[in-house]
Amino acid sequence: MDTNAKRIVVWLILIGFGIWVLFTLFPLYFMIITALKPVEEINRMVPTFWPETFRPDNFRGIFADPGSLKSLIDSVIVASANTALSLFLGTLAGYALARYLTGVVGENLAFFILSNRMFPPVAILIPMFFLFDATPWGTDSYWSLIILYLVFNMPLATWLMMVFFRDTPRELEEAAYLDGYTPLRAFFKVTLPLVFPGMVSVAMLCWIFAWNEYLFANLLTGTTVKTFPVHIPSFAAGSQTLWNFVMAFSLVAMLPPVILFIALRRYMVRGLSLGVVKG
Amino acid sequence: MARVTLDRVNKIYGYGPSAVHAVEDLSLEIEDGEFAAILGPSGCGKTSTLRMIVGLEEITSGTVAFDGEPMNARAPEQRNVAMAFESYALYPNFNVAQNLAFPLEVKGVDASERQRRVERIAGLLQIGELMGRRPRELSGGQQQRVSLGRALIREPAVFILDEVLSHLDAHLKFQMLFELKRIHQELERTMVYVTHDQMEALALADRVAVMSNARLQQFGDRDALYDRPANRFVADFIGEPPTNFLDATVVHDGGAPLLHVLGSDLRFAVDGERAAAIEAAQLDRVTLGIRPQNLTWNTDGDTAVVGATVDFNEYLGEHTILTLRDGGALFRAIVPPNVDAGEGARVELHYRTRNVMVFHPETDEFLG
Ligand SMILES: Nc1ncnc2c1ncn2[C@@H]1O[C@H](COP(=O)(O)OP(=O)(O)OP(=O)(O)O)[C@@H](O)[C@H]1O
Ligand SMILES: [Mg+2]
Repeated sequence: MDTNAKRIVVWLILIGFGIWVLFTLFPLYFMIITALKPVEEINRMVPTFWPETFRPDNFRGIFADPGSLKSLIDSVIVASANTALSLFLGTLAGYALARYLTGVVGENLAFFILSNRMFPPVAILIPMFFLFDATPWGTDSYWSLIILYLVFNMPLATWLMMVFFRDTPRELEEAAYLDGYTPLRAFFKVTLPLVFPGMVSVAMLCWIFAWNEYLFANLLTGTTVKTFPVHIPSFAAGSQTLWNFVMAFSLVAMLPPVILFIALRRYMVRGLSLGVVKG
Repeated sequence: MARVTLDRVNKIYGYGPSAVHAVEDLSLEIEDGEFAAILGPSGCGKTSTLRMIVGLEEITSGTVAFDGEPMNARAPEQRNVAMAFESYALYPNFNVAQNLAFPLEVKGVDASERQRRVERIAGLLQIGELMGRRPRELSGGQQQRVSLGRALIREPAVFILDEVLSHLDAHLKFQMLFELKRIHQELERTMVYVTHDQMEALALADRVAVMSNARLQQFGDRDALYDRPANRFVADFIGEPPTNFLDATVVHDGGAPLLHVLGSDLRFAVDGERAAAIEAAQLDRVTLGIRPQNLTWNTDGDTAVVGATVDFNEYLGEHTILTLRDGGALFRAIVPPNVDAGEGARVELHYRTRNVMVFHPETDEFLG
């Protein structure tokens, strides 16, 4: 290709990226300006693309309802507890699959565990309701969501951790055994530090899933426990939908995952590339 | 310190049709304080054998014992062995100094003593300048020496070293061989050294176990391997360039048998011992083996002679390797560097009749 043709290709690629960025960023932009508008301006037939009246007070307004803060706290509790549990179980199960169940049985078991993540969640919606209804703590509790989300997060955690463990050479542990470590000590001191970036990525994925989940949370909980996605519709009281409050609250709810992601991105990149690049 | 005994040890990986019989009926007795080498081509079961000795691999059948005490049921951490892995197995999160100190730390050796031993071993292995680096910042040969150092830093009952010098240049390898030998003499511990390089094995070890195809072929010292190889494989594997093998018929020219090489006019005489062995086996066909070193240019009188045509003359500085032909038979001889033997020249070579080895033509066993 001559340089002219090359330049055209580069420009076409850049334009393509530009359109893509516009598509992804425009909704975010519209959220932000909507969150800053008064209700009257939102309801106009021709929407404004820059607020005529700024109403930053919206962000204070959403917390007039004490349920708003509580829903965020509930979400943090559910997401964090579920992540901790998924990671704990997934790490141990992944290690066992990687090291001790290497044959056909192990392969199939690992695939079965992952396949739990593949069917449509709605399929188990009703059975789950009855299952949790039968527990002593009932459907509307932290435990029901924390345990229910394991159905989705544990297979993912197990599978990914298994892949990470498979990529850490067994000989490192064996060298430690010969130097006098017990298998348990070798696992914690030698192997776990190597997969730590991977664990951070897995934790992140689990946490975000539990943070965003709406379907099950809406069906099972709503009174004692109310996570933020379930709380959002309460801004649509009566005939009037307070879109500015909905958007402001959604923006606030976006912050924790974004902050986590930025804080941990160093580990994320390393963790997600663990399976790809050995070494 | 320990005498290491392997009694009919087998290792089978996997089950059913995909099973691999990696070690077959291996019996071996390594004396306390002995430097033993296991030598054999790639895939013959050396690493599998080592892993069973240290306890990392389950023993399919047979017994591994230290000082007569069976070890089969003992976990690796209870066997008091140190091993250097073929794949180095350095801890990627630790730097060189921490890697070296790790075995001492686990054993609870105090910090100043650790420091002293780490510096000493680093000096011996010439890795002193690398102490602060991580394994991934080292070359293959440097990693290999750190891994060797980590194994040598303790004083266990048995040292197990799996191809620990394979990635070093010839010069460095020579120095490391010397250091290893010295460490062994100093500590007087049992060492088992695995390699596929016969030079290393013969230079270091008191005795060498030659393996091939999962089986032990011979366990003996240098002289035994050179002069009384158990079979054709050992004779071929030990020695550089490899032994000449020629198919021959046994002809009785009045009294002593002569070996008449097929497809040529070459005739080799054998000494009385070998003649008796051939008679006893009642063979009229044998495989004859003679080392290139044992076909000499000069003679001190007590030798027999063969004539052949020079096919190829390789001048290698310290000596010359002649590839010779007579009829359809090809063989090689090592001669002094200055001999006048151009390609196509007719030459005569001398040999001692006791250096002619005779093998069974089908089983490849050494007859005498
Ligand atoms: N974990 C395993 N599962 C199945 N087969 C194995 C396993 N480890 C080794 N083998 C097989 O057993 C045989 C012996 O392997 P081993 O590693 O002992 O050879 P080696 O003599 O150390 O070779 P090298 O010189 O290449 O290191 C080989 O055929 C190998 O493919
Ligand atoms: Mg090996």
